Amino acid sequence: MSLLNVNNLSAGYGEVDVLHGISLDIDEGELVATIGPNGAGKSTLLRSISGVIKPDEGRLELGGTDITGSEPEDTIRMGMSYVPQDENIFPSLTVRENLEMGAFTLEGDFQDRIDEICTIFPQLRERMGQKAGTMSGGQQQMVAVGRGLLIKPKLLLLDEPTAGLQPSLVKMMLSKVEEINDRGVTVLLVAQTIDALRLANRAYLLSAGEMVLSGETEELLDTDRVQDLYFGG
Amino acid sequence: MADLFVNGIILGSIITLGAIGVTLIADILNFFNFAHGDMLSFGAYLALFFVGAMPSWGNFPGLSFGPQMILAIVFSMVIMSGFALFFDKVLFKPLRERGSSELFLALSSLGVAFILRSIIRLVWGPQAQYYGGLQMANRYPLGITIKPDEFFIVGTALFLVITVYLFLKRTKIGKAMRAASDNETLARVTGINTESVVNWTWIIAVSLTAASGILYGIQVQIRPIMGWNILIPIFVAVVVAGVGDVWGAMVGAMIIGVAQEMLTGVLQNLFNALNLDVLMTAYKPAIAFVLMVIVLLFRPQGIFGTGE
Amino acid sequence: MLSYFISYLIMASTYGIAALALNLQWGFTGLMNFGIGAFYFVGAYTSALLTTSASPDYVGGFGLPFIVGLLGAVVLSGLLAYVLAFPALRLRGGFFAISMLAISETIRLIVKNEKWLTNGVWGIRGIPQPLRNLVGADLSEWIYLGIAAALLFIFYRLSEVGVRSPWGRMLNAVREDEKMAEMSGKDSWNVKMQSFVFGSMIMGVSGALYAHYIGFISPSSFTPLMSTFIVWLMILLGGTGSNKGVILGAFVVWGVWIGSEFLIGVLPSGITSKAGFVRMLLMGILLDAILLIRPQGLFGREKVISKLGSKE
Repeated sequence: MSLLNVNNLSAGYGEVDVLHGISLDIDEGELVATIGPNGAGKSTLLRSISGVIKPDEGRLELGGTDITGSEPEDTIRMGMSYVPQDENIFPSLTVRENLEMGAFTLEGDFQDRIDEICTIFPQLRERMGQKAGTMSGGQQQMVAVGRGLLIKPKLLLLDEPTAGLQPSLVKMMLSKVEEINDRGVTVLLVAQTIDALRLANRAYLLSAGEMVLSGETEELLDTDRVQDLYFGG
Repeated sequence: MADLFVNGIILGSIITLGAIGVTLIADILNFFNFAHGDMLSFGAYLALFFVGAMPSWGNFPGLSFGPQMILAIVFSMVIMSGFALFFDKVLFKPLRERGSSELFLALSSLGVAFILRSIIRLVWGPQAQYYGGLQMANRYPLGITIKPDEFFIVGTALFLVITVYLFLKRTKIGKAMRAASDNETLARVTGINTESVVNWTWIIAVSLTAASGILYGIQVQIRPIMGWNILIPIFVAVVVAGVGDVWGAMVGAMIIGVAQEMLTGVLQNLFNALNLDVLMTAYKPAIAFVLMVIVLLFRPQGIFGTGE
Repeated sequence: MLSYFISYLIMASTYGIAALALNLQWGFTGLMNFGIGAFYFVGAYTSALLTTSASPDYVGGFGLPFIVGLLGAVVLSGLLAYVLAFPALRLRGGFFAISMLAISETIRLIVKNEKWLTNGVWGIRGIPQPLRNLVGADLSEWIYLGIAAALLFIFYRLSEVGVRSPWGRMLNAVREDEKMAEMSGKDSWNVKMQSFVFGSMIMGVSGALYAHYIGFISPSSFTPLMSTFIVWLMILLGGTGSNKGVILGAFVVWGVWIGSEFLIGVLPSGITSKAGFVRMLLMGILLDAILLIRPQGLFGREKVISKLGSKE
């Protein structure tokens, strides 16, 4: 059952389009990666899907509903959550407040949601009152991803969740992403490392704003282009 | 000297309320509101209208005004908030949505400044006006003189500052405002109702400013140009403290208030001793400005600024 | 009737010169100068003090010729700008605007309070128009119009040549995006400074022209409305970045101003004092309307208000 459908998307900043005619499909329950060289437009893709940037052309559908041109506020209510790569926490707010902001669109009490986040990221439990800006990179990533999970999203857009993390934390974060997917959250992941890519069963290769390859992860790993991406140069 | 310091605190209290407004708008709405001074004046005049329209209920013991002033303050805050929201919907919001630069927004606020100022002149005329009668100052140790009204001024300012602090700290929309202040794009991404944040920013900023105008009117007098005159010290307080920090704005305002009063006094004594005929009180706003230049030279992001 | 028209042309030319200067600073270099009044004051008072006859109340009174007055205005305005450049030009956008505003207000305070320098609120009278004693009042007006128009034309040509030159391209780079400009930080600074100083000098000339035309200046000659605000309105209406446009903007806005003065003149006197503020109200609304409806003005480039990609 298709959860996210992107059809012929072109988008960018100002007058220049970064993405040209991107199409992709994600089914419920999948963990899909998008990979590509720097500047290929992977972050732009996630920004366009989430509504931070409005598409210049193309169509976006979430669970069958047209969300082209929607604001993030609306797509969040429909169950899509986006965690950017950088500047993805509110530094002067406490951990608890950061998570609370994730629940902004929720009515009623969400303490049980916060508890659930704490079972995924136990380190956050003792640090609820700490200002997010004073935490380490790894902890901040946990807050960022935790915030994204608060609305119990159907679809989670994750932009390079392991960027800037120490190697020991990278493994931890990747296993968390897997855990999140196992709990039923569909994930679209921008993957910079091969380990991140391996989490996914399917992947899309982006280059210079265009969808160049797509397929099963293992197949892609055999192709020259993907080999060059991770091992070449 | 101690008296000058106390005067500085009183002036600083008035500047604080304006400075918090300016810093919130600069931080969340991304521009320096050059209409802030005239909004301050307008707030003072609205209260004047209200007090004039109400029957007199007598004065509070010791103060130069009565309960109707409290209502006048509330009235002024509400009406000014309405004005601000009107200008936002009609002018600032369309400009924002178009992606206008900080500079365009500042320019447009300059237009609003002249609009408000001309309305004040048309409705109320140029003459100085007062809420109530004159007051005698009481003497305290160390040569300090304080009028009873001045306790009210400092007290009210403190009360409002604490209220705003609690609002930002405890309420959902207050936290959202702090979040938007940290990272606007992320706030959108998180699903924060940015429209609400914008509205409340204006309401809080302008309400404080209206109160500031009224307190200034109580302290000195009500004149059309009153807000414009105090705009520079307000901006300086914000810049010196660093944009975005509410407590910082208060500290900055106190520094400016005290510095203005004390430096004016000190320099006046100096000039007198040197037999130079300079009237320092006329240059009070200039002192604030010189302070700003000095601070910015050494710490461009302000004392508490985060150097964004 | 004719004399009103000449008066209009002279004043509009004066403002046109200031508009060119602001266009150089903002339209081409991106400096948001909210303190034009400062340079008006410096230019006007320098020229006045150099050219009027001596008075026991205040300094100056050298009785020098008009041209010396103008040169003095240029030099002192330039000097002030040069000195201010070091602290002020480092500041970004809004901070720079505030600083310029504060400087302007400070200068106004100095002019108002330092009687020994400027004769304070009493102002300086009897500022001479060149050749007036020789040729009489009427012809003198025509000559003055000639001078104002000539200066306007000269500054226009200078500006046009300047912005098309390599120097002008550097200005463009600074305005568009300093970070991306391939110039060194030092070059960027130099260019900004030059633009700021030249622009200020030209504003000083504008102030001096005003002084010699009206014959009298005082601290209230250059209010924020009549110095800073009205010139911004002129360049926005004309189109920032277009020299022709801003000159046209000056003539249009001044025409509206003079026209409304006529209308006010025929109203009963009880209304006249208020009418001035109705005019202020309309000017404010006009500025905001231009920003909303046609921010590029009549001749400006569309790019000035481009959709900011960096916002997303």
